[in-house]
Amino acid sequence: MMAMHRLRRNAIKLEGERSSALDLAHGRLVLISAFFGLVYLVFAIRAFDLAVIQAFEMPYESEAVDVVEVADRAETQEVSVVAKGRADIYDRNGELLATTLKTSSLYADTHLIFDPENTARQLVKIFPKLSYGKVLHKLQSGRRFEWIERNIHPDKIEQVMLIGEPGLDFKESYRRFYPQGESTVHMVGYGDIDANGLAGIERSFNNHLNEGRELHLTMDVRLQHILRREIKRSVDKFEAKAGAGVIMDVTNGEILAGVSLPDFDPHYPGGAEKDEIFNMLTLGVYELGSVFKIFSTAAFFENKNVPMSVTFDASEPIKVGRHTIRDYHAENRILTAPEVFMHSSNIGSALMGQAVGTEKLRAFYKDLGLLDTIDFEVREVAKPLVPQPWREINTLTASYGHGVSTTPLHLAGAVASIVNGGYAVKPKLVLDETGEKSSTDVRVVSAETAQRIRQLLRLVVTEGTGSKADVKGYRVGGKTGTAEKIVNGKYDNKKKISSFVGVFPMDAPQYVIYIMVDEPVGQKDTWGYATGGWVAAPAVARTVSSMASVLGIPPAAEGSAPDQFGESLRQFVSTREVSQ
Amino acid sequence: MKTLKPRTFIVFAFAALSGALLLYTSQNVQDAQSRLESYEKSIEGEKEKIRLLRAEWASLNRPERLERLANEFLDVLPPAPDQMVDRDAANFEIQPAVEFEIERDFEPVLQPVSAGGEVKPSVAPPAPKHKPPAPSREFREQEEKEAKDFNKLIGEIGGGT
Repeated sequence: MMAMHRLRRNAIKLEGERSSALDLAHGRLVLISAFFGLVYLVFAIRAFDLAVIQAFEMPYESEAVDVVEVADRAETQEVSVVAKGRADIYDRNGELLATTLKTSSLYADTHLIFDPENTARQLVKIFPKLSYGKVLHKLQSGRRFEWIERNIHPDKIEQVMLIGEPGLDFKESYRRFYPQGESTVHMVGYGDIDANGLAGIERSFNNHLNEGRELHLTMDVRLQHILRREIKRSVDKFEAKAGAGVIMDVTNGEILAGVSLPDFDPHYPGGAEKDEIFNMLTLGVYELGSVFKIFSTAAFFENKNVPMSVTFDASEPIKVGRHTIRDYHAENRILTAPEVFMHSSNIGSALMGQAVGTEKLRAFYKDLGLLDTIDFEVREVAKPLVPQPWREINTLTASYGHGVSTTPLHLAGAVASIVNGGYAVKPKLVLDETGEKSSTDVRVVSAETAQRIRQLLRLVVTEGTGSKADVKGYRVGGKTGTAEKIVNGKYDNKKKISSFVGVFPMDAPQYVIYIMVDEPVGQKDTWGYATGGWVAAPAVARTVSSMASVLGIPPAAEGSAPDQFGESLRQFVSTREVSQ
Repeated sequence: MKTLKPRTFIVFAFAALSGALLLYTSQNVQDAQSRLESYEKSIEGEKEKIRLLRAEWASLNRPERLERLANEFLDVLPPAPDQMVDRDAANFEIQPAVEFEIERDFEPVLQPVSAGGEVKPSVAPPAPKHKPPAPSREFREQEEKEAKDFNKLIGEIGGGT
């Protein structure tokens, strides 16, 4: 108003002093009516704008947002606030492993519900699971925030909007979704209702993911499926309790697949059994048996400068104090080192361990990481069980995989460290996206020992206990392991852990595949056998064969140099029929 | 009208004009803002839809599911190891092309290569069935049991209530 006054005064001044009183009055009248006219015009334009122009453009906006905020503060315990920006997890090829999706939940502000009876009737029509009475009760409660239905289907949102009650509104929340389902649950992990990671990568990278940063894992969902399928097949066939396995790149320790069976649907962790939640691969410690002969044999050749033709007397069981060490596949004769390995002679391996000596064997196992908790991206890892104190008898038993309990992951890492040429590798699950190839320069064995072990592993498959792991053209090598489980402090020869660690292609190792089956039962078509050679070796063969076609690895031609790998060891093997 | 000089009219007209302009501009800004908001909202919505579709795509492309579908509907199997050859090492024999007349004379581009060894043909693929295969009953049962409907799963997960 003040501004108007001044304007008018100025206008009068403009007209000059000479104007007559009448002119002055007239002038003022014109001025005032012009002013009012202008104001009316402004109002008219604005009214037209609001009523006509903007009416079609402005969507209806309720003030319910504030109500939700109030309600949120009031009932925080009921409203799940999930980090909206929690980032996705992908496999090495960019396949989605975990993502965050928006879901909507329906609530009512009962102050804005004008016809509770009709609204309740309509809602029950849309959500048949709701009862009319309960909904009506909620709508008449007089509260400003009442949940009607959580996580509703997108189609139903529209139907609810068509009821036309301004008091019905939606609150959006965010849920974690795992497209691969149970297949990847033990590696990727799972979260609670607020999407906080409770296990696996979801747990160990909780903050990283909540900050909105994506993760790429070293896994390959295709290999993961193959490994899981083949372990499951063995577990089902041999009526076993459980199974586990891993596929690892020997050059850098990257885990391409990791399986622990039984597993569960990560969307419903609440409904999972204890043994389903248990990750055998990283949390289970087991005496893994003869697969450990790889390490005692490597220690032997690393420490003793001897030729392959060195012999061990396995004609009699060894007696140390109360313990007797026997052979499962007893040959009862003097064996060369390759024969000890391919027949999986406990006596021969114990003698190798004895020759290496307690201190050196223990130090060697430590270098391979077998005696320490593994440093791994999944934080649920178990500490190996190591004899305290470590006596000489422990050296003998540890040579063939008894008395020392480790996780299957430990074993895969240690085997990779030897067959890759002798460089220590650590298992890892998160892809290093800088593209730098990470390989350590820490040597655990010499290149020569590594080469000998490669030949021995190939021999086990061509001539020994692991023949069922062979896949023509792929130079699979490996070692069987059949360990009796300890039940109530005693070894139970009915309950076994049967395993096979396979490596291929043996002339230039690329992958290590470890499969173990817990408590397999011998079947008719395996003549009652449930050893590593019968249970796990065929599963490894099937895995290699499927992997080759997925990854497009061509086989070596028959009779070519790679295909002949390890043949030179045959001269140390006396030809006899070999039992499985 | 003596009192109202032309200059005054010009001033008023100018004032009225700038008022109208101001109104017009502010309306434009408001309008643009509301459009911007609605675009941002719809972008957010589209992004969310894309996320949902990507999740569904990943869920439908689970290797396990594809394998089940392939076993049921396709007459093909993954190649067996002995059906694969190394492209670089294999000595493919290129069949000589059928002779035909070429008017201008230039060197033929494809020269028949004499191969060192024979390439064994892989196992003949089974003859394709010509009628579209109908899913077996076991498959349907398996599918119903195992293939959890994506939307149903999305509706269920979290289990807030």
